[in-house]
Amino acid sequence: MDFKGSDTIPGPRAEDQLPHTAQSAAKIVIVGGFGVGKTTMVGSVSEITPLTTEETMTQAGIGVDDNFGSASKTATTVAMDFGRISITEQLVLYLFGTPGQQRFWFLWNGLFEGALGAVVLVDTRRLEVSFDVMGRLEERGVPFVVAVNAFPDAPRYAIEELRTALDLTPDIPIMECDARRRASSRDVLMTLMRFLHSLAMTGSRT
Amino acid sequence: MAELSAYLHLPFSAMGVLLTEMLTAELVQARAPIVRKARTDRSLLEAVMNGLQRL
Ligand SMILES: Nc1nc2c(ncn2[C@@H]2O[C@H](COP(=O)(O)OP(=O)(O)OP(=O)(O)O)[C@@H](O)[C@H]2O)c(=O)[nH]1
Ligand SMILES: [Mg+2]
Repeated sequence: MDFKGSDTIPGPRAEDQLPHTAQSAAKIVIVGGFGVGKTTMVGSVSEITPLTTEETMTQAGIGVDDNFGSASKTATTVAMDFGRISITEQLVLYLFGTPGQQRFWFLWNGLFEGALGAVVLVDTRRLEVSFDVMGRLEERGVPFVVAVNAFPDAPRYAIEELRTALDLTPDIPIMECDARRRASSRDVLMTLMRFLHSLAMTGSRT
Repeated sequence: MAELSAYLHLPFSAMGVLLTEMLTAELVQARAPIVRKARTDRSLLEAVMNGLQRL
């Protein structure tokens, strides 16, 4: 099948000839537990209406999920969010929102290939999902920043308290955000970029 | 694969099925994925930052 001949596909053309450094698309993954605001965040910064792809899961997840959802549920719909920001005419930033619970980790295969980094969205009402997510990202060598969504009914912690609670090393950025606000979500992405940039600087010195 | 499903606006699962079919039929070749470089291209990050600033 020759995808390159089509002009309806905005992906990188002629990728075969290009060196890997000449990427025209970059990717960021937004990961977090159930209802933490992934779809909201992708939607608030995306220039396109975020697409949500659905994956239906049966049985496999029963019993291993956290307290959410009813135990009698026999099928769960998993949504992956997809959004886009045009950076320049040549460069597009793709945003993927993906669920963080362990039983969804099969979705991560491929998703993190070539990703610049990740945003871990944290709900202070359910910190335990975040632990697993961050551990898994570390294993995979994916750099990430932590964004705490401030839900009105969630317990409030000082950022440094959260850093301790989440067992984060001092170098990993952690901030509060409101995923519904574009500027706030943008700041989160910007923080991730600065963090990645600082990593790149450190790397180049060695 | 995520890229492909994104570009083609196909659900992830559909893309998976399609690619598996095509691999089986030897229509496409699986290549080593572009691994995250130890040093991400700084100019790329800077470009993204500039773009986000304008958002
Ligand atoms: N107060 C507050 N509410 C938020 C914030 N982000 C999202 N919400 C709300 O939280 C609810 C869930 O947000 P979603 O974006 O659907 O969460 P999700 O992570 O995509 O959820 P699932 O896909 O179901 O796992 C929505 O009603 C949002 O309006 C936030 O930063 N602050
Ligand atoms: Mg969602």
